[in-house]
Amino acid sequence: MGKAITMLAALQHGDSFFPSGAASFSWGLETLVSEGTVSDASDVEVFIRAQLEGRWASFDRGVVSAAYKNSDNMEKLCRIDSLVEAQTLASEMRDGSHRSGLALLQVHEKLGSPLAASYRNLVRASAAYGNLNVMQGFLWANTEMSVDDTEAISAHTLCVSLLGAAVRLGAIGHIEAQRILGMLHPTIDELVDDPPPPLAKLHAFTPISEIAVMRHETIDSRLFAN
Amino acid sequence: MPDSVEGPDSETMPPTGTGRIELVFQNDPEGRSYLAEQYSSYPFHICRAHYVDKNIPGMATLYTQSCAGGIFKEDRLFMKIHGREHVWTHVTTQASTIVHRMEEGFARQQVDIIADQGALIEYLPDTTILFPKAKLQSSINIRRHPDSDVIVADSFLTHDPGNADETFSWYESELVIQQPDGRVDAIDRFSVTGETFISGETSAPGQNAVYGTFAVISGRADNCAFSVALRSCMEARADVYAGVSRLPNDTGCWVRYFAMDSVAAKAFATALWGVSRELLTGYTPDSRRK
Repeated sequence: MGKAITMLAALQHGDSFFPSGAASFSWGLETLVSEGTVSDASDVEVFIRAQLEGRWASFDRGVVSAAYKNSDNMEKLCRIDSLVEAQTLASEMRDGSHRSGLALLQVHEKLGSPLAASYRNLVRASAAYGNLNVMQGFLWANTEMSVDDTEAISAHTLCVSLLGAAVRLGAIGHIEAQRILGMLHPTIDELVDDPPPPLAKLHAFTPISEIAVMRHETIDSRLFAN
Repeated sequence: MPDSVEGPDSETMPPTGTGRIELVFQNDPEGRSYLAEQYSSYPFHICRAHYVDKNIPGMATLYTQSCAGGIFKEDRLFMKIHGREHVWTHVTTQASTIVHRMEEGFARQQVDIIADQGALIEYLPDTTILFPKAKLQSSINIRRHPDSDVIVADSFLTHDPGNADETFSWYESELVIQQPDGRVDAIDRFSVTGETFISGETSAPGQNAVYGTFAVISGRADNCAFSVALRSCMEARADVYAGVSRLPNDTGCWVRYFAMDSVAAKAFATALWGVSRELLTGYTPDSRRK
């Protein structure tokens, strides 16, 4: 296999062009922008860095890694999915995770990805939830990407999703978004240097975004689903 | 519903920790709750049960106290609260708990709550105060019958009595809600250093004061009614930044909040407790003297 294959796979699955439905979610950013807590590029950078360090590294990354390594074990995947469900306390956070995970699953099912159809059936039968981070590890394991690549793409898609939301909300422009993304790369690089957290130790501390997602449930004007 | 995950064994603490307190409540033939079994070792002290709610005169209120003046390094504290069938009881602390400076080592406290069928257990301790260089692992494990209710609160603040620009070293917290067979419905687990807590998640000021969680865990309550009632407590409160949502697996409703100071936090938590108690029992609670 050529050296370019892995990079091309990463580019395909990490690209916002990939129809994953991620553009529908702001993960609390819409509330924070509407309340004036996040209003410029500096705020956006601080917010996304906090999501990477306070949640992605200690929670999502461990899930993605575990799902990747158990991608051929439906029973284990369902248990990881249930664990994510139990640890995703805000209702709209769960809804967002289900919807974007399911969108990813459906695309991979249509692309003929191995086992995607089987897991889709489990979700249809309410035997699984299809949480996004589980689906990322599970589905990307069946591409040419390594687990390290998969973790990096997971962090990248989180950043791109949040930056895209920040642009649409008018907090930053496109050039600022690219500048912030570049500034976050060393942080991601540093985070993936440590081993991923085991499932039994998954934890997260991003209370402001969590509260913002909770407050979003009753916000008057909504551009995003959370 | 998908299979739940298995939770930690609620008896993970060794039986010979630094301090241990075990409380078993049950109803007498008239339906009045009382302390049927109790055990406490230093530094814990149990007061006698009080009956302070005029509308629910048979509901026991118990204050737990510590003779030690707070939590110190290498403390291993364990508390078990068991509400037998149809017991209604309220357990609280006599005051805030200070977690003292720890140059080395750390402290751990574990609270296990078991709610049998028809029980209502309220576990509402005062805010934990983390002194500079404090290191605390805290866990609350709740095993509850689907036909029971548990109201639980947990909060902490950082305090620098010497104004030396210091904060706590780290705080790890875990709240696990399980079914009687051990399957887990919800887990709230976080780990935060004082530095991260102070620096905050956004550029917004005021988010580093009192951090709290309040949950109404009930398999039989109307989550919509609870959401509305809990949100009503947020109205016109500029000193609190809070959100209300439904817990996973239809476990109940919960609130996450930051309060500007301990006074605001206490007032907010008291309001949350009041509307929750009213929805569960039909009566608002009477205030507790502390």
